[in-house]
Amino acid sequence: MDLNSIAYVESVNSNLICCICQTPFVDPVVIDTCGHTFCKDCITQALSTRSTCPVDRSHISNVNELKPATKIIMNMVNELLVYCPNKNDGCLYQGQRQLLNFHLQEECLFTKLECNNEECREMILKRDLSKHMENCIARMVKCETCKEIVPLSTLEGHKITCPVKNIECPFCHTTRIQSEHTLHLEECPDKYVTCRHAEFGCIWEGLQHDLSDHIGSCNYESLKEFFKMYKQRNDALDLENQQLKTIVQDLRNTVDLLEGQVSAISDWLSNFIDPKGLASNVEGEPSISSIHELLLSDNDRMKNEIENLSASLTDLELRQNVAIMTEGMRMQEEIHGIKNICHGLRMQMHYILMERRGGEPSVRTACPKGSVNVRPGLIGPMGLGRTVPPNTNNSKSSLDSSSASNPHLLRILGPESPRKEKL
Amino acid sequence: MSALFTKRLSKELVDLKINPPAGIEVIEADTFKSWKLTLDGVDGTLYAGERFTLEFRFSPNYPMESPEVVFIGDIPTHPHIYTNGHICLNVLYNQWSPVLSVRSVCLSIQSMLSSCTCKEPPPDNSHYVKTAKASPKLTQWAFHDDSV
Repeated sequence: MDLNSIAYVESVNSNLICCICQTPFVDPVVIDTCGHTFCKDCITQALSTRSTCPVDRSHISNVNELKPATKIIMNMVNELLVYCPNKNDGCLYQGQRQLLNFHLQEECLFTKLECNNEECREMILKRDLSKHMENCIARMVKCETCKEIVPLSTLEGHKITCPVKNIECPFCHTTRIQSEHTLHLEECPDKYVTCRHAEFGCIWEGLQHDLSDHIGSCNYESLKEFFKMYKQRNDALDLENQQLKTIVQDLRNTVDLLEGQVSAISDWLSNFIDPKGLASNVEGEPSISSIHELLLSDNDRMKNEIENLSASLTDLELRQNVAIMTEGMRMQEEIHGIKNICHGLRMQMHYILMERRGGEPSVRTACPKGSVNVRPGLIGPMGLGRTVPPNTNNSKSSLDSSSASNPHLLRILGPESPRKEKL
Repeated sequence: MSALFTKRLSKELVDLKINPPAGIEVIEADTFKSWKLTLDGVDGTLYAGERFTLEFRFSPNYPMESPEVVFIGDIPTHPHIYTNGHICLNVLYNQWSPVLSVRSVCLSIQSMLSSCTCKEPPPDNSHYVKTAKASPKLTQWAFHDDSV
């Protein structure tokens, strides 16, 4: 019972009102140091926010400084006249606050109590409870057959399953309680049954109490061991067959799966194996092999070009060599001419010198044969009156013709020309 | 929402409606989250004949925590009231106590207005208004004027 929300009969002296909750003190405590009084809950809550007295702001170090208010304060608030909290439901009680709990628990007919019935649990005024219990739709009732107590709502269902209920046998028309009925149905002598060898072909049908007579004369009875054996074997074969069927089904599933995978793989592979198929499918995309061919033909073309170029390069080289060679020969022959002229001049000078000395000049003409092997030093002292230029034209023309006809010869001769020039 | 919060506020509301203090009137109190009250300037003071509106916003910890109190609409020109409605009054911030109530806060503000001798805004008004947060409780207040 929350005393903070109850209504008071008379206006309460303001000294008895907690200035935090602004209702008359509930469980009043006083702050030891400053003497201010509050409800215990109010001041505890206020001190958890700020450790000062809410009225004068004096510091409070801990909650131990709170002491219960004096007896007289306690009595004054406990004796305040209050209304019953069930006033709105019709309770006219008013009395001291300290007696309120007793009133609510013991006396007040307007307190709400819970209906005891499992499926109801409705809150009912105490005043109306006994009436409610008589009519509650979930009240407990007694089964008249078995004397069991069941909720009213399940009574109908219980009556059907009630174990003590008498049930009539449909075959022999005797009655017995439900718990024995099932067993009786199996054994009822008036029940219509077939021969127990019906599954092997016996066509006898009749009442249960005639069955033992029939078994004595039944043709199948003597063969029952044989039937039993074959039945067992048949059952075993059935079982095996079933197992094999399962295995076959599993295998078939596996084969299907593998077939699917194979066709998927071959589909995929066909993209590579059959480029025409791909090329026709993919517009404007040259196939890999056509690119390959293109590259190959390019490569061939390049090779041919390189061969042509190297041939023409060789040709150019030969021409160059021939030109150098020809030029070299011409220069060499000119040098020879000049050498011969020098030789002639030296001879003439020698002759003039000899003449000046008064000696008889020995005139001798030398006619060089145009040989390149003649050394000027050896020939020099002998002197030459005049020079005859060697016939260079012949040799030059012969060289030209040979170089044009045989480039290999020229190549061999080529390196020798510098040595000749040293001469 | 604690029981104390609702009981205390409903009690205060009943009290303000049955026995309203002079010049103070509740105009909107539909929820326990925020109330609006009007505050009349007291005759014989600089604010005589003026009517202002105060908004109280309560946290679920009320009355252990102070309510947010601001002027809305026409803001009185006063050295302790910023033009955004924030009020520089210690009992609204660090000097709050659970024994204070809507009624006592209104009376404090009324008395603060009444004791004013010169209608002028706070000296740092323009700076404060630019930088202040929505709730005045988030401001670090410095209280220096003890004359009110």
